[in-house]
Amino acid sequence: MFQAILATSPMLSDIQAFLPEIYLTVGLLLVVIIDLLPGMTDRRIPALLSLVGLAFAARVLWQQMSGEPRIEAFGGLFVVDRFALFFKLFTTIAVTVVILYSLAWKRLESRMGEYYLVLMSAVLGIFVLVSSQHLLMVYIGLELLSIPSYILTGYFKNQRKSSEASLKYVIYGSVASGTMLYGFSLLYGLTGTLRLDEIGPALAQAFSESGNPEATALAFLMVLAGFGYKIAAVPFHYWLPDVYQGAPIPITTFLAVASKAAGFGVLLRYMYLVYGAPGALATLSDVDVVAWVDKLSLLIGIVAAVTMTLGNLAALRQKNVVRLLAYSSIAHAGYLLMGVAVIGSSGLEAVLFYLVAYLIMTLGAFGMVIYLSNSVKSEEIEDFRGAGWKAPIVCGAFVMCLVSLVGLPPTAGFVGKWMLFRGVIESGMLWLAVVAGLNSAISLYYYFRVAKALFLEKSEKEYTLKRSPVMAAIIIGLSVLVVYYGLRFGGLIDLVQQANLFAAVQ
Amino acid sequence: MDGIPIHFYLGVSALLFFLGLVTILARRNLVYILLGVELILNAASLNFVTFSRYGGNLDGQIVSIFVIILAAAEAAVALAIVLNIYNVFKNVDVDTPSELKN
Amino acid sequence: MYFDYTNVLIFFLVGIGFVGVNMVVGSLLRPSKPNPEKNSAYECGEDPIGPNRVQFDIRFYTVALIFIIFDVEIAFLFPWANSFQEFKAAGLGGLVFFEVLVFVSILFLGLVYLWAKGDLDWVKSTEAQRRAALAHRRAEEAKETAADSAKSESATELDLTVAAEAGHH
Repeated sequence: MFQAILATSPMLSDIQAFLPEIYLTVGLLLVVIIDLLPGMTDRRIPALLSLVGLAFAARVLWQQMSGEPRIEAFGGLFVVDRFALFFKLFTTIAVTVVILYSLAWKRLESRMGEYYLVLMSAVLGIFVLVSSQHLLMVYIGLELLSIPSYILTGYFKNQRKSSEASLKYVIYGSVASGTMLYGFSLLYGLTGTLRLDEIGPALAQAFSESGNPEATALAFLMVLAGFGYKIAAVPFHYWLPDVYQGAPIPITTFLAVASKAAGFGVLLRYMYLVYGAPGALATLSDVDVVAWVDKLSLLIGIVAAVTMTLGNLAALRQKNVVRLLAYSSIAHAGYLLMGVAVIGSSGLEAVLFYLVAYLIMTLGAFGMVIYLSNSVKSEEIEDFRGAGWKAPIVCGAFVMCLVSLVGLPPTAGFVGKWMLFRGVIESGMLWLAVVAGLNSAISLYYYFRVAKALFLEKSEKEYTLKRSPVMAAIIIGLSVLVVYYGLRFGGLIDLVQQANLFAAVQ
Repeated sequence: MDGIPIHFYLGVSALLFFLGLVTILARRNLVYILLGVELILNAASLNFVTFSRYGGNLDGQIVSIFVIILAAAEAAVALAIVLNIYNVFKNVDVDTPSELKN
Repeated sequence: MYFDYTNVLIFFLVGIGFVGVNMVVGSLLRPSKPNPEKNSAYECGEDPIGPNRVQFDIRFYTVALIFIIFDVEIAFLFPWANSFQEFKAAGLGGLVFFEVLVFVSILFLGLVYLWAKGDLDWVKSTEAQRRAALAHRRAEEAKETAADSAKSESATELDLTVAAEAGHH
């Protein structure tokens, strides 16, 4: 590996490719230093520093977006292509909103330096994760994302719920990452390389020559278990509702949006390089391989169907909004997995488009929870009764996000779902589309229940809703985006097509 | 060392992996569960080193160094969380914290 | 192959012999003045009397956690030191040295952070423990009495925590 790095000697260009990550690192080190200085007690200072770090990173990302389509750095360990940049910009936007939410949420008061320090390390983890083209980098990125997530989940360390959530998260998380690592080691043993782009062809060759399908399948499943935990696919979803409910709500937002998207990012790259790229398993015409590929697609399809069904059914009987959104997030992971099951050009584009829609509408939904819970001091649906008429515009915007989460027109959620359905039907998995359609119908019921509580039910007790212009502006802006991308989705589809890994090959 | 077939190493590593898994599933004490996780990570580490030794490139050994370090970081955070659980719940049994339910 | 194991065997024998010889020499030379304090087993400063399932002082864990992080990070420096000459020969010595400086100074910043926050202090831990115990007692009391007024507006951080918890029940 060192020889490989030495061979690509101009390291300065490598460092240039790594510049966004360096800016993030400098930002978080500054947060540490500021936290040590006396007199810097204002809780907004570390947030501001983090935002500045993100802004610098975003500027470089934007430049890279119009630069070369694909840069490999550090001897191929790290790759900056449109796909990675898509996820990095996505994360930057999501985390900016999460930081604004953290500022707005009244319950976050003490130890803010630590909070932003750990949050920014998680962001750094996502950046590394979506750019990695090497199993070691995948593992480092995943741990760099997971370990701060455990800490942030247990941020209120005197609260029972927060502690319990972080405990469940750390146990499930470390078992899943350990299993994934074991899968990595088997992949390494089967192919003799750790680079994802070399593993694909090597695995295909080993598969067709010696025919060691059991070991290959075992390695594949173990790795998928690790990713499946990160995106909370059934049967690795047990941690999610508890963690989302116990964590501070801005952190829940982070986990639901940025962390999940990063999981999908690395899953898609893995599936593409090891499985779908030219010369990899899915492109071989060997009879055994085709049968194996079909089986894997079917398996992921079944996981997708079970995930969305279970998420939606469990969401039906939730009384807590955060828990409801947690199960809804499981259901959405199921929808997104449909695109992974039919991995291919259109499937991948559909997943990316739906992720953007999911980002906007989920941020909007959690923003509303923060807005209301600041006044109501609770996240139970029944405590939200009648809030709609106290702030009709914001709550109307929130309902728009819910409409998008169901997947009804004229919203981005509808367009995304339509693309996913099209991809699945094109690949001949009609049954999966039918299951997803039924699930959307189920989800209508519980989202509507929240909207009904807001607008059609009377509050039992009197309270005044605290105004928060920033939060209101964010939520309204997000809902405008939801509708905008539901009507004029051309620009977004262009972006998604640029980020398409399959298209980059031709 | 060359006299030892690769299967022996792989067998030990598989055994470690399953012992880790059984420990995690069977034990109720949180500290033992964390020990089980460490066993799984060590199994993977051993696999990497073995394949590196028999496959002829150094990548696996580098990975194992990173695994050791990340495992320590993870263990530190996990132990801190367990300590916090003990402070809050006065117990390190995995079933005690059960407030988050449907 | 067998030669390797012979080496190991010799190493064992020499090790055992070394300890044995030293113990014998020590027992011949040292004066013998036993007292109860001296005869009791040493257990890291813990009182060795009582049941053997004693609760260890939480401060040991804190120090151990901090130690293990910094201890293990040093493992990164071994491969670096090993391959430094290679990089130097390729004309990258300065850059590679700078990189490891960055790495070590980040670690150092972490150490400074711990120090400034008082986590290296033996005394602060007890203080934290006392505070935690106090907070716990207050939380218990508050939970018993203030289940109704749980959602009161004016609240300190601690009370707010308790209120949020009580509110969910």
